[in-house]
Amino acid sequence: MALRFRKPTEVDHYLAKSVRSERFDLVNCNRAEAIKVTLPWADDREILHNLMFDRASYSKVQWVRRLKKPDGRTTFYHAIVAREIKGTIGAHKIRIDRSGTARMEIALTAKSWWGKGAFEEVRTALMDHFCQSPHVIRFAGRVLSSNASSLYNYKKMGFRLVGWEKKSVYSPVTEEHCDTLLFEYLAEDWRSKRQLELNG
Amino acid sequence: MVDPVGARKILAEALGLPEEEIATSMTIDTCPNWDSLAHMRVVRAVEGELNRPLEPEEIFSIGGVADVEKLLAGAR
Repeated sequence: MALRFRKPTEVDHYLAKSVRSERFDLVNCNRAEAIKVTLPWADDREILHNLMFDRASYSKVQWVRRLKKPDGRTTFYHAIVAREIKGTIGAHKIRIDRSGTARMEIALTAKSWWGKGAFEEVRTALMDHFCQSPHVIRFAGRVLSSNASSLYNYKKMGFRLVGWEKKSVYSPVTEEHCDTLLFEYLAEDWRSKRQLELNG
Repeated sequence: MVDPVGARKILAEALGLPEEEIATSMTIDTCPNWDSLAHMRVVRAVEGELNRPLEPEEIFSIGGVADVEKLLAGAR
């Protein structure tokens, strides 16, 4: 499918919609909201390590400067709001490059929600939404090779392991160079898989 | 030689299930207890049994009881 080129400032009104899953409202954030929902990451060493940030902690000012601005076109932040508790439990980021690769990151700051299938549910809902856009050709994720729970999540969702980069990230938290693994899922394959699942 | 008893014992502890409920056909898709945190426990337990850290490809290969049996059998 050919990409349709857009003016740099044009908001994609389809992609910029909020999304709903079984347990969560995935609320598309403006810049102020994105800062608010991701600020807990700034001094969480475990999250900063797992998301491969280049510092072990950030001040609020540093965090605000570092945050890529959500523009409703290439960069999206979604607050993960659990309807059951009416509270935000984490955030998800998607950045679409010029080739149509959507790179994804997720962090659940409410650790009581770890191991309860939130990753899979949130990512499935967002991939269902984003794969319908002609601007998204491929989903990609990168995780530390030591992050067993993320490896589990990528495997469970059927992502393909496409690369292993040795000592590719320096972690200021562990003060070591870490290996990372690269995963991908083509948007057309995701649409086919979901169609099959919906058809039972 | 595959040791299904060893694999079942490891998985029973990691998944919080009785050993007799661990079937060779059990996978991450069929066992509700096998979530991301349980998976970390499975990986740590296998590493403990093998007395070495698992390679990332080995961690990614674990999708069911049979995969754990295979990893343990490879070490024997």
